[in-house]
Amino acid sequence: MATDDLTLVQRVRTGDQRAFKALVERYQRKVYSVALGMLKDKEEARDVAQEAFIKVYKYLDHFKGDSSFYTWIYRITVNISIDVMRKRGSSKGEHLEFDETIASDTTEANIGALGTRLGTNPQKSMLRKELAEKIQAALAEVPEKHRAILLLREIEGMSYEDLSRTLGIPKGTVMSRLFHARLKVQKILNEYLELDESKSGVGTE
Amino acid sequence: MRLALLALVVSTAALADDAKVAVKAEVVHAQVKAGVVDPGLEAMQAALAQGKRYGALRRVSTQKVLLEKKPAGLPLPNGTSAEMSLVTLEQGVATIKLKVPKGETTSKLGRDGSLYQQAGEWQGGDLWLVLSQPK
Amino acid sequence: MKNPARKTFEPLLSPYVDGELTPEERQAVERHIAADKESAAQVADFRAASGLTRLSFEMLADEQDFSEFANQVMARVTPQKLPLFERLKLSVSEMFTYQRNTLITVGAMACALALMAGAVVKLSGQDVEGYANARVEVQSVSIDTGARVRPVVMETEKGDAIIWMVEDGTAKKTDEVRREELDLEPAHDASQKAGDL
Repeated sequence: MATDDLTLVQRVRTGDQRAFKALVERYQRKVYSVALGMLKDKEEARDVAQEAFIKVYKYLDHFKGDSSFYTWIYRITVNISIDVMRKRGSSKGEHLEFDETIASDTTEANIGALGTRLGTNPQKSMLRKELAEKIQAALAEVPEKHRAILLLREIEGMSYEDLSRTLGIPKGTVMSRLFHARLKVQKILNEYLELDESKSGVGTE
Repeated sequence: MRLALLALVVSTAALADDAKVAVKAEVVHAQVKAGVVDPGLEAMQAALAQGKRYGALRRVSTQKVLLEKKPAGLPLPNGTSAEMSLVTLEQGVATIKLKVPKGETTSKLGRDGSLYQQAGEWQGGDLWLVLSQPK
Repeated sequence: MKNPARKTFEPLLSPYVDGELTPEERQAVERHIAADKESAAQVADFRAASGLTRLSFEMLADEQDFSEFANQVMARVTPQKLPLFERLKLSVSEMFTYQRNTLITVGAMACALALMAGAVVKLSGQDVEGYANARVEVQSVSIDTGARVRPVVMETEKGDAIIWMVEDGTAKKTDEVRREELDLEPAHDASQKAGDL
């Protein structure tokens, strides 16, 4: 059975470097994926992922264990990603109008289309790289605060409780932001799929 | 060695009668808009990000202050001022009082962390007092 | 004709997909989905998009070579520590074997210097005095009479304490004040209701 995170953290504190390496190897893919989802650039995402682990190592003595290790590292990853976005001035999401108080018009989202085309449990073998990149592009249109929540939910499967703690926002806000982020991604994906099908002459399944 | 021992005795006696604690006091101007973060203020930016994401942090003033029971004034660039004083010094732990426009706080100083106190507004941003152990 | 219940259940569909509803809420949503095809289709879309997002990032992560990632991180957090340590160990052991008297003399001088340095630090000891606590601890905050602010105290893992003075013009819920004053976006009205269920 794999050693739990807190035990590894305690070992690192006693000087066990291998324990820290184990933590890095445990989370490297997902931390990278979250950074990639925020930044869209693979090189930057890799750098940010490394920076996140370095920061974790630096402040490990101050980690009290009152939150889980993985919420802590994801919080650091999201914060560093947002800082990078601010510095490069490409935080498009910050300037995007995304007023959640306006009722979302779901009629435009072509409800049912995604589920019909792709099934509710799509397989990796079905997934074309182009579609994967389109999803990334769709995420880039979602404001950064919403994007972080969607990424942490989909990549790590974080509960709403943990999302609330990681991002320091109420659970109600988590629910709201996830809902709107999903609608936005759904709409963009539908547009892509309609275009794709009309190009290849494929009808609905 | 005899001289060092003598100095030890004298310094201990001095603390008991007239306790003083050195503190580094910085006044920082923080703005939400993107800009420059002065060297050494990255940790402050990260710490405050829990509440507000500042894009620019500028150190307005920095000084080493010897806190004692009598309040020491610290002028702020927006025309107001802050006051700091030592409340107690017990078992090596200093408790200080910090008076800013609109309120006052009492806190124990710590060697690992800094005390960040919001202290009003100025030129489209917020003023912060940062107290920490001088290094 | 549009089902009026759809608007009520709409904000619950996303948490339903995530398994975040209470048993009562889940049953209510399932009854609604059984009766409303559009809501059922919306749930299917949410599941599809969720699965796609997860898979797409797995695919993108597959493209990255992580074989050296952990080593690169370790190199940055522990640069050249082991080899240097091994060298020091070897040097000391050799000195002890072949230059014992020199080692003892140097050791004694180092101790004396350390004692003197300690005395000097004590003399200027006010720089160290007062910081026996590891973390900053806020004991109390009081607001001046008539000042329309509310203190918010936060702590960091590093040991910092942050005292915000938040404008408190009207009586609002804590999280609403925090959202406005601390530059976060307003919550969705329907989800507030959902959160209250």
